[in-house]
Amino acid sequence: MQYVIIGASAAGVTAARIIRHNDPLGDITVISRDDRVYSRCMLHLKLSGQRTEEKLSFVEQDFFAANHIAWLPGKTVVDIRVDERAALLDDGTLVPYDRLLIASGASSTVPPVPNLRGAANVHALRNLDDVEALEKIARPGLRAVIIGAGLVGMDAAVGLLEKGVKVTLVEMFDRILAIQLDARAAGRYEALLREHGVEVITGAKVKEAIANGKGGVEGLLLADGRKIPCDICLAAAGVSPNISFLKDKRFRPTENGRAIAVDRQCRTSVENVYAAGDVTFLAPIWPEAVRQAQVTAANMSGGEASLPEKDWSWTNSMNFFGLPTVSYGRTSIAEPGYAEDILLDGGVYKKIIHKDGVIHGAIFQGDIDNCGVYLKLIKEGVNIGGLGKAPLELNYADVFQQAANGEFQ
Amino acid sequence: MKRIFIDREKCQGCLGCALACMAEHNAGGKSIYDLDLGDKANETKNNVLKDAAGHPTPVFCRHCDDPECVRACMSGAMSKNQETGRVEYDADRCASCYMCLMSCRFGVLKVDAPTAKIIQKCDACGTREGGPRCVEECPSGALEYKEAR
Repeated sequence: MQYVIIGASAAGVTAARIIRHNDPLGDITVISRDDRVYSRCMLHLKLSGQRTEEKLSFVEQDFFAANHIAWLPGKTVVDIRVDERAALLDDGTLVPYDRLLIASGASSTVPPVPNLRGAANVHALRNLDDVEALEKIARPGLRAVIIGAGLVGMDAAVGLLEKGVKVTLVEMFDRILAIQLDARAAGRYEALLREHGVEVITGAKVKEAIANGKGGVEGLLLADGRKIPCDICLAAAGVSPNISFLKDKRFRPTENGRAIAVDRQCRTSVENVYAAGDVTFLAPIWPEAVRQAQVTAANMSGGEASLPEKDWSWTNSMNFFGLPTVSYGRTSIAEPGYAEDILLDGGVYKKIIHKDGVIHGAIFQGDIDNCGVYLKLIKEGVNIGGLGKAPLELNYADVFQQAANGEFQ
Repeated sequence: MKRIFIDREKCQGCLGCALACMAEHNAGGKSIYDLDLGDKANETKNNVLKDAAGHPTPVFCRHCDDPECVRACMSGAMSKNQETGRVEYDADRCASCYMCLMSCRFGVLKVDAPTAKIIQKCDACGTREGGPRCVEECPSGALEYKEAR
């Protein structure tokens, strides 16, 4: 059996490991544009100088050799020849497959703002190459403007701060980390950013980038007329799945046309071709990409597995300036009928959103110990009304259930 | 693999398991006499939590067959040892992203107090002869280390 995997990040590597475990004799080939294996979630730690390149890896150093996996690093797939069952590489090589996994990930997008796309000093924080490019230019005193204050924008801000760069964060929403946090939790990070000298501009629309006449940009012009001068611009306003090589019309895209569609077994519309991770747009966080890869790998190598029926990945964790936060589900009340319980104690902020005895969202900031049980309560829709405790005080003892094999349920 | 089975009805909440855990993981020596209860760097890795009725319940890491914490780990710090069945944590590789803590739906994991960078995670006392010390020192029979079937 010839297994071919496109991509060597969370989904690709996880799948390769499992397939090797399931099929000790199969041929496994991993093709990746990346010439190194690294965790994208740790890129900012390289930028800030806290980690070496080696320590960005999430696998053993000899992963490919030890698992007898042929790795083709630095190669780009330009087409899938469905009828020939082969992947065509940029160097003209055809790599034949019996089973193919598309885990080609996503790329950082540059917002459609005049003068921004293609400008020389507009960067991203997505690949190790991006970090290396930033390392070359970032030095104390330079000014960087980051477009987008989500998790990537925050990572970039913290990384550049460590380099002594003067950072301005520009965010379209009325607060930073708007998708992950409510106003109070986000506000504490915003205060910490300001304490560290970061200028934070929220509710801002970027009208255009100001060209510097040398192929780069020298600042941003906001819709309200403000000008933000910069030496470095970093786009952290979202990603787009890498699907341009799927030219064959038999590959069915998702409804919005931006990702490749998969079913609950992670099968694409083409026989023997599977997809997992960011390229499906269904796995916004690392754990979900790995979950998809586990399902895919099982299905590719003789087993049977499905993604959970209830897709639920609204979980986030973060740790900026030593302040940890975990959030689950909805972070604020949008409609009537919901109630919230709040605990504010020094540096600790906790909030539980509930309705009719069921928890729909929770935020833990400053003290996240043992908070994971709320994931169970929310995901399973446990009725907490009968547990005899306030929503903020629940723990696993309240729903304790031990299976015959000793696992919790 | 072996697991620490919990008989919550027998638990008296004496926290002997917590002391055992702290003593076993104390860099200054494993005797109970070496234990400094005020040492924040030496916290217990296990949890004895109360339900609404005030009943103490040991909530210890299960070293799950399909561990969510390992699935969530983006640094390679959490791993399932296929030979022993244990879920192992390598603090040196950990990037303190807390996705493991977020993903453990039993709420077992917590962060260390002094640095807030390290996950407090049961290691089943590593290679210790006789297995986990908490089991050995539980006076009420609430804990039993046995083959998980």
